[in-house]
Amino acid sequence: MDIFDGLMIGFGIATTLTNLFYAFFGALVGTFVGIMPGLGASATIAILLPLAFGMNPTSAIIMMAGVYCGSKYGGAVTSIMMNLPGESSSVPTCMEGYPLALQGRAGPAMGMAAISGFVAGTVSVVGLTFLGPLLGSLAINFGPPEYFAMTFLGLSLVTSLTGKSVIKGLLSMLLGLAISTVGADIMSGSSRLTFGRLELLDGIDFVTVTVGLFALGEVFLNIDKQIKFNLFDVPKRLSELLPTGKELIQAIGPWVRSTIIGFLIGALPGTGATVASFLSYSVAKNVSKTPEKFGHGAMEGIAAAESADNAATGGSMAPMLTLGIPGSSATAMMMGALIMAGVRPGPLLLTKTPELFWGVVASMYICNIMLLIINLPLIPVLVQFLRVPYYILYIVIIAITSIGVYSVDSSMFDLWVMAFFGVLGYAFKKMDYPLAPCVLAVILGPFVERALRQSLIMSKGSPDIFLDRPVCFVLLLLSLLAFFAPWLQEMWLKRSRSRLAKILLQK
Amino acid sequence: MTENNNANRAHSFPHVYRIDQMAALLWFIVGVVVIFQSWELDYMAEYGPGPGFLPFWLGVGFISLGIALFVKAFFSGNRDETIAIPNRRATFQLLLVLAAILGLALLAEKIGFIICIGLMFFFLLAFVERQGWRFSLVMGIGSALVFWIIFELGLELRLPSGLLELFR
Repeated sequence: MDIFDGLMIGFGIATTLTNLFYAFFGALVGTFVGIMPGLGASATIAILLPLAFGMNPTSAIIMMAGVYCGSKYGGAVTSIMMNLPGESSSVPTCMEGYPLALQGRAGPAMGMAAISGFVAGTVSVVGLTFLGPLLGSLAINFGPPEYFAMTFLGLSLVTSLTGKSVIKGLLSMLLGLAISTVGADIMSGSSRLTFGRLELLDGIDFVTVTVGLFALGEVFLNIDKQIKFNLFDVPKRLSELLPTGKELIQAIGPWVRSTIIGFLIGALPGTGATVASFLSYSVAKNVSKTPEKFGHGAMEGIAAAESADNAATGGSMAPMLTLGIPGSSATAMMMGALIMAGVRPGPLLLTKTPELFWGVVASMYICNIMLLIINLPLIPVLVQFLRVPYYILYIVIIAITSIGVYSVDSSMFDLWVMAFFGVLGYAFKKMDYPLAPCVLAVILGPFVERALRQSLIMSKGSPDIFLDRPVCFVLLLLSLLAFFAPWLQEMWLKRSRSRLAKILLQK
Repeated sequence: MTENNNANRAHSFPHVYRIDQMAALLWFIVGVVVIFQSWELDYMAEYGPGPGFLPFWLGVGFISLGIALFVKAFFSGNRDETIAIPNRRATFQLLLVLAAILGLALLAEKIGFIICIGLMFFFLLAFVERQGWRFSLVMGIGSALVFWIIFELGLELRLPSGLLELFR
């Protein structure tokens, strides 16, 4: 069966009334639950698993794919409106979306997130259609050295996120790495930086850290500023609810770059979407003509981060469907549902149950269109929440974040940790320490360390393993480039400006 | 329009370079603590780094960057930049909000998460925001109900029931 025949069959299955309903239901539920910190796609799919038992496997996975796609958008809404990242990959959206909301442009920011998600999500499904099996087999060839190099590349982006002070940015990153070491060492079992507390043996979850630093820290800052009523200006006209034509044109570059980055890196199990989101954001900042806008409300930043995040959904489905290897906890849940229904994802899926594979691919096209139709009209509704007086809104934020953090491990101790990071986040904001390097390091730290140690075990202690493997070597070179990128960009800009000045003087 | 109560804005302004110097000292101490903790672990394993490797070098990093921050702040040319710190009222409110969160953490398992959320709404609206008893009470009860419907009934999250267990 060739690709186009498969797609025709897939669309035939995906466009039945029943499956359209399940796609819509999944997308809607995913959007609303994506707003909750700690309750991402994987938790939502877990909640819906009992429903999936009695369903046709194709319909079940269509619903779950809808949840997966929808949760990406939900994460963007709270990132923009409350500085509350729904997932780790939403952190760059916080960094640009929230400042935009403070400028009264929450609507255009959400519009840009929705449109970027649609563009990238659709393109990534095209990629899944044509490149799925190839991408899956490439992903399986990624060993510990390549993982180390890729996650090290993610960490080296920190210099693009430091803001005014590189020292403070690096300190923030070191703190994140230190937090990531807390708990039982995965290889030796030794407890590290637990100070004798049993509750810390499992480590500190990134949700607790992120929610504390970003959301609670911002709440404390606003209480400090004595903000009582509307935090932002509430848009009145429709034109104020969507990005401008100029902004959409400027977003084309980030869409193209970030979709490719997101799709390729999203296929890698574990950190795919997070690294893709940060890497795309950093690339967008370094190639932008106005890098000084980043961190203060740059639409290009939202376009880059959201494109990469949504493109990663298509990428992460590739290894799950074609090789039977889930790329994330959400795809692991989907795979569990399929196995319970008697369908085994993997190389034989395309030949034994092609209608399921193509049905899912076709439904993802439909889900992306549905999400745009659901979410763009929702913007005027969501934006009305900005009318809620801040003295009520911040209590709602505290309640939601507390529930979200508790739901991760059902541990009250996590609320204490969240409160600690809330105070730390407040102090960081007052003293101009960037938060993103800390969060990036918390997420990537365990992967970097584990991959490094596994690689050295493989090579019996020889570091040559990182130089002998071409993909690894290239990624490490890119890491060096990424680390020095801000200074290289500054040198390049200075040279360009002095050349321009000379030309103007001559004239 | 954003509304700020300007009468309650910060009234004392410590200098940034002083705050940075104090922060540098704190980072130095964090580095020392982390290094001490790492000494209890194996620095190297059979092949490559052991569990103590990364914490040790993180400690070294904290100390080095702490010194760098101190030196930078010491030689800083800009001695005029200040940080606004909250006045007494804002500080009191911050402490009460923090107390509310910690109270939630302490009492949720005994009284019930949803009930504690309602109590938190009431406490913060009545005592921190001074919104009036009736309004605060209505918001407290209403919020508990809404959160119960959304999270317990809708999303089927298992939050500590506490006193609500008596009604089940």
